[in-house]
Amino acid sequence: MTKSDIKGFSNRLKSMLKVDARRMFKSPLVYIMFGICLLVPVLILVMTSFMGTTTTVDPATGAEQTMEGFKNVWQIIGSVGNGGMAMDLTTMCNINLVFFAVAIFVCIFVSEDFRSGYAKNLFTVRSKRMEYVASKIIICFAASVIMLLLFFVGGMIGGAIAGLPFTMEGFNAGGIVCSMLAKMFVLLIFISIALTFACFSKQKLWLSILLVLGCGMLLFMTIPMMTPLNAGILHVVMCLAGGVLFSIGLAFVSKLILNKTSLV
Amino acid sequence: MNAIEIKNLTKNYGQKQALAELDMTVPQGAIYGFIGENGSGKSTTEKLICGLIVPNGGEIKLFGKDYKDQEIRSQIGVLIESPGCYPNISVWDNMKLQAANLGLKNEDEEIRKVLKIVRMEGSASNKFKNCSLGMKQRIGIAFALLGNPKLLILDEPINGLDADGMRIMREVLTDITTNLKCTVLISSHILGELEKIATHYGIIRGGKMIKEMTAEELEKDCPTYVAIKTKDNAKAKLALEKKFKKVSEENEYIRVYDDVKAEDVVNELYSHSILPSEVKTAKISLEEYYINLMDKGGKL
Repeated sequence: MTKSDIKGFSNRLKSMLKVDARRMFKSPLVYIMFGICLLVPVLILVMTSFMGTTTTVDPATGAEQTMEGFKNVWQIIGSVGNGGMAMDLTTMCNINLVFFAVAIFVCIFVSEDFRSGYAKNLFTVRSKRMEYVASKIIICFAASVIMLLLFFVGGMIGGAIAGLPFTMEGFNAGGIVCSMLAKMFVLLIFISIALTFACFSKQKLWLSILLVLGCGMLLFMTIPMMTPLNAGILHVVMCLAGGVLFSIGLAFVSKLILNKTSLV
Repeated sequence: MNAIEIKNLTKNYGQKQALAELDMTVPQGAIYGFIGENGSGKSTTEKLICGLIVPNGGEIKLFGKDYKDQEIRSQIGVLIESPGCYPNISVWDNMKLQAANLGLKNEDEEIRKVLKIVRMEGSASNKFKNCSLGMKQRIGIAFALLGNPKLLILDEPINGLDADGMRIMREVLTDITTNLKCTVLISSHILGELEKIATHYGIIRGGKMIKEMTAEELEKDCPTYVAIKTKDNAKAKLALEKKFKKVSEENEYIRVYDDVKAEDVVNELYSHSILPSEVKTAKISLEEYYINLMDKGGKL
């Protein structure tokens, strides 16, 4: 007998994880995403520090609009307090961009299974869809955490190049750690939403990206509130609970979609 | 026990009925040639067996168990339409993924074995997208063979294969059914090739199985005949009809279906001072049988 024991959910999940891990790290996509996550914060910080503060005048109303650049390195990671619903440069162009990158990454990664036809091989030998969904969430979460950390590292490098101060005002190192942890768990929400849309759209990558960006826009504004720089353990726990609940709930929805719809 | 047993299988795509209460029986160890026109429901049936699409009704059993049974499903090898491989990674890496998917223990050994069978050992490092159509088809067959499946489902596997590829394919399928007791469900429009290997046939039309038979039954339904060609076929036909019971003119030849030797037919023509320009003994091919069946609305 050449086959190992693939009975039982955990064994099947293990073999599915092996497939996904191999594919993910053989694919150039993941390295492109890693590169983007490392480079984007450097570019943002360096370019905005060169521009400085810009003021524009609305010709119709004569009102002045000031776009302030980054004054502190940590602004690329988050903002202090509840963050509110501010729509300035520092709250829009920070680490939270990773959430969109992750959503798009998940859509491409899942859609590739269907576009390449590999789904035929996968689902012919696997009647249970849950291991597919669970494996995708786990492996995409692992890649997303790396992307988040790379953005963090890129932010630090960019800050150093741009000569921005590393001073912490209103928060401390523990707050940054909690903020990063909270962001990691919020990633689970984005991953599971993207996975559900990707399972629904299958070969239609454009549809899954459209759906996930639309949905992501709605959730994007809540991220600064959930993961401020002065976050505490409560933020982490709440984000963990939210992330886990979302991923379990949406995993069942994705499984249902795969069970009830055609896979080719 | 049958390898595949389908009863009243129905599948609709919106308003269009792709399968209408299809019944099908594939015995264990058979090479089942699944024949039908384009759009007759062959691929739909195969996709349903593989669990890739959801049926609207009916029952599918594989080796006596429900087709969703995980243990049974892990023993199916499949090549439907085109091989499901990631284009940007190498053939070897694609094979490694499938080996992991199947939970194989000796991955490298197994992969080497199947690549050798389809004569693709030398191309394992090529990116899948850079392979030719024939190579891709061979890789698809290697994919399907990985892990010694008990049931192979092959949809148009010969398409794109050269003469050598077709020969390899024949040898592989005959070998695995003989030595490994594997059952093969194969659909193809290249009936000449199918005829050389199939032990059973199923003919589908409009989503319904119109005929299922063994190769022996087909043999009986496809008699041997003597075909002759003369300068005046009409005169020759009239002469032969006086002596033989089943005489017909088809494709510029006069065919005598009676159980007679070519010499008897030629002697009969000589006795009427008719000289044949061509004489041959042939057998109705699967293709001809199939065309006749389709022309007669599925009833011979």
